[in-house]
Amino acid sequence: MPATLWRLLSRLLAVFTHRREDRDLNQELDVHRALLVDEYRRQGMSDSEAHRTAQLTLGNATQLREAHREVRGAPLLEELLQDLRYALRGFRRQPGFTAIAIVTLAVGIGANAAVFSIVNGVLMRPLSYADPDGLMSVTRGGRQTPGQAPPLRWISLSRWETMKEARTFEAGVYRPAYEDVIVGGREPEVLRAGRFSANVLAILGVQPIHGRRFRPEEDADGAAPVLLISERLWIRRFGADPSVVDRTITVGSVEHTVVGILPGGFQFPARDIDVWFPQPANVAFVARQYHGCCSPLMGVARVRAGASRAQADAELSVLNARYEPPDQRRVDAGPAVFAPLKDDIVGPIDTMLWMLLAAVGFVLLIACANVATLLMARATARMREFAMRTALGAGRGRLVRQLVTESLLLSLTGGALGLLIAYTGVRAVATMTLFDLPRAHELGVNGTVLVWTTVIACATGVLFGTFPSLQLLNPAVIDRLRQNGATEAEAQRGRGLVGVGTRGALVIVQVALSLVLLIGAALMAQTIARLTRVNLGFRSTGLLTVRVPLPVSTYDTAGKRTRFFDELVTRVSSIPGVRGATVVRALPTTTGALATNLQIESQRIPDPGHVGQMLHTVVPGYFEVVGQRLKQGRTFAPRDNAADAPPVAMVNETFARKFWPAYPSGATPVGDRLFIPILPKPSWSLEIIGVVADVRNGGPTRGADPQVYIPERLYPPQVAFLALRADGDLRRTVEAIRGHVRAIDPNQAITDVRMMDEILERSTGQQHLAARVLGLFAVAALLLAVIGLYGVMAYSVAQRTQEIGIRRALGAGHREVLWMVIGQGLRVTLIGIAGGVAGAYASTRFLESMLFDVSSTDAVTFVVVPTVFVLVALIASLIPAARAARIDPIGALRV
Amino acid sequence: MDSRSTILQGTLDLMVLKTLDAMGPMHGYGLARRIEQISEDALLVNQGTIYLCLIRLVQKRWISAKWGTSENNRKAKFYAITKAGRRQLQAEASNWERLSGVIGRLLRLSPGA
Repeated sequence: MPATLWRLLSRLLAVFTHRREDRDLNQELDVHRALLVDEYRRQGMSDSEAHRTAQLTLGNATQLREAHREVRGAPLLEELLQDLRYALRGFRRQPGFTAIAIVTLAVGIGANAAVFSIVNGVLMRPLSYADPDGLMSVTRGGRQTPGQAPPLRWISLSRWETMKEARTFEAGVYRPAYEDVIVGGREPEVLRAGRFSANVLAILGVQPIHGRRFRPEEDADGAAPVLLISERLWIRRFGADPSVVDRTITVGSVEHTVVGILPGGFQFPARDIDVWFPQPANVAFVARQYHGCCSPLMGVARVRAGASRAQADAELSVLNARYEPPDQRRVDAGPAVFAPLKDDIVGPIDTMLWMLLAAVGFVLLIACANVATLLMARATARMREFAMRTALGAGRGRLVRQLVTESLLLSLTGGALGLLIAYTGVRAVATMTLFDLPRAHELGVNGTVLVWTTVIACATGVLFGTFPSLQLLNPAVIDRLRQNGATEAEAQRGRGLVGVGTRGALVIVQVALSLVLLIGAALMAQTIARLTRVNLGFRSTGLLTVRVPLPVSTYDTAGKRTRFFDELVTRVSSIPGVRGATVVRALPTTTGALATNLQIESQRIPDPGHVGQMLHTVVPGYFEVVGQRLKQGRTFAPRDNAADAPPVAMVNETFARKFWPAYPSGATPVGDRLFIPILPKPSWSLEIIGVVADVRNGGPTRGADPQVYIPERLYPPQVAFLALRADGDLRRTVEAIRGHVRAIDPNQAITDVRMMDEILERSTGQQHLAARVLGLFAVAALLLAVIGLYGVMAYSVAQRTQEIGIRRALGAGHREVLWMVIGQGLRVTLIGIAGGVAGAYASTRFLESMLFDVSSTDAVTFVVVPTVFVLVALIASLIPAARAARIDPIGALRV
Repeated sequence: MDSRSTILQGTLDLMVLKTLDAMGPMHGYGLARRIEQISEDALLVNQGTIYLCLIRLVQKRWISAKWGTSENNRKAKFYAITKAGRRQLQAEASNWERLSGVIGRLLRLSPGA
């Protein structure tokens, strides 16, 4: 019905044109009246009689004007606008109150929106691939927990090959980690590269923006080398020139054909990857003959059209049985299963994020309680105004609407400011380098976050802004005011202690919630302190590290790699200020160490022998440079790395204890011999020449693994770390290192120049982030709670001025009054603390997986934090108490 | 709004539209007089009430208003029926006739006939 719509529109517009419309109507009525008067005069009436009759015929002009307004306008909207104008005027009159309320709400809502954006972006939103629900990962079960060794979930190329014929699902494989490649040209640079089987892009439903996907035949060994590049690299290095497709670029020393450019948001399986290859098992540090069995791969799969998930599950278990018959054990033993792909992409971060969301919810509740207290104080001060409006005929509903409007105005303004805070916060977290947040590139303040923010802003406004104030609209209170013209204080006395009681309850809630946060933050702080105190077995401070990835194409033989690293160590050692340099396959907490099985000459067992040892290759001098102590025997000497030297090895104490239980007394590993099948010559008989102290290679949260160290020459790594200690300007040292690298090989580059301490901090990045954010929230909560407590105490003292005056007049001393007020504050605080301790006791176990070396119910924390809280609360109530004690009895009574 | 006043409102709307259709643009006074004559004071509580009806019809775009000069040389608003108003009038009129026909037949029925 267009007529109805026209009318609705006109009514809304009329809200803004009332003045003109009223003028028009008046004019019309004037004409009408004049015409009526003319008419009646003609009928022979006297002047005054004609006027009076005209007035009667036309009707009451005022009533008519109001009815006209109602018919043409939108009365509800007008009332709302009126309420808003009124609210704004009130807020302008009290800028201090308004600012505090809005900022408090902005912090509460903003922090919530920020954390929610992250939780929503990382955990809740489906992966940004076509039909993400149909995507699954193919793994061997298990879930990683922070601080624990990741369960071995990978599958092998051979296992994947059995799945190629699957009829109900299509599976692809990818390397879960990135590798370093050097893209040549005028300025060689190290880039992160990913590898996946040719069908992965089709499974994910990703189409290159230029060019094509990989073809299945490009997965085969010996296929012409091809690669896909990221949009970012395409723009940065090739000026977004589409003709780069089908051109070749040099990776290492091999020309690769660019077959396509992948869209900007594509970051699979990890962030910051710029180059992708096919042939997922073709990994630099795994010899070709082991590709089929021993390259750790992750699977990704999609159920084929027409098949169901149950059918796919059934077919996968048939394939499992075929791959691993009962009489045969595989390296990737155990059945493969389908799991949500998101778990693999997101990793073990969900506990922390949910915890942060809960913590930030507490902060919001505390902020709301604070604003509620403020609003209640304000409403009390406005009792007279409400009474006046009631007397003038405003209904209770109208007053409630006014209060709701005011609260909503506050919380929506706070919410809008909060969105700004959230936006900055999310940007900060997404770009944080300390902490590799998964899916960070997908994060942002989006529609869901906007809705969430609006909902919490409105909910906080209505719940916490209005409910407490409603009590003040108690008809009895208003009646008393209206009838007796009593003072506000009297009216409140009539209300009894309800108001203070409500306010007290709010403070109790604030104290309890902030105590839970403080205890959580204290536990995390202790975790960080203990993490940094752990003796890792070497001196990390002052150790400079640089990653040196040698391209497989250029450095294809052990001899070439050894020559490069030998020369690098020699040259770097000669840089002025360098006190020692070495090269190692993997630094503590970095990936790259090899897991290996081995045989010990004195303890031979059937193949595959003793499994689960970690193998490191080091340039002699390593233990001295990193500060790892020698326990028995001798350490590597430069001659052990010579081409014709007899093969030797060193082991750590955990290894020694594992195979020589009596170590360090009794039989010693020194002098025994090792056979390591993954070495280029499995027949090598390596003499154990010494035992070194344990190093926690998995970081402070994990114990030492059994480790074997061999001279670098025996199995030179493709990707290695240069580690050195140097005096003087580190930047100049790094420049000198770059110069030497270029001097050895102009096509070689280095990457990841970092101090060892920084690497260690990254390895416990989750704990660090949780500790910082939780600490921030806890301090904010404490501040808000103390402000709330102070406000209530100060208010209560102001309220009780007369009562205290009477007490003083009846002989109560300063001290008694002081204690009376402090006691009141203390009572509220103690109730809150009891609740908070109980709450913390019940909830800190959710922190458990992130704590290190401290119990989630640590007795000391549970005593110290509440005690500190009581002290702070005492100080907060001391100021109002002192004010109460200073009350002059005569002055107070005279009022 | 109860049903009685809704019915009255509809009737009043119809009368205003019909009057404007038959007699051309008029001001509020003329319309009020005319409707009083026809309805014998049954529809308007007082003459001012006509303006409530007029603003509603203007907002529905069934009539339009224009300032003009009245017979006593004053500025007055003249109302005229619009195209949409004529359509509405036609629809309402045929509705009304059908309805009055039905009611008429119903009332003519006598018991036992």
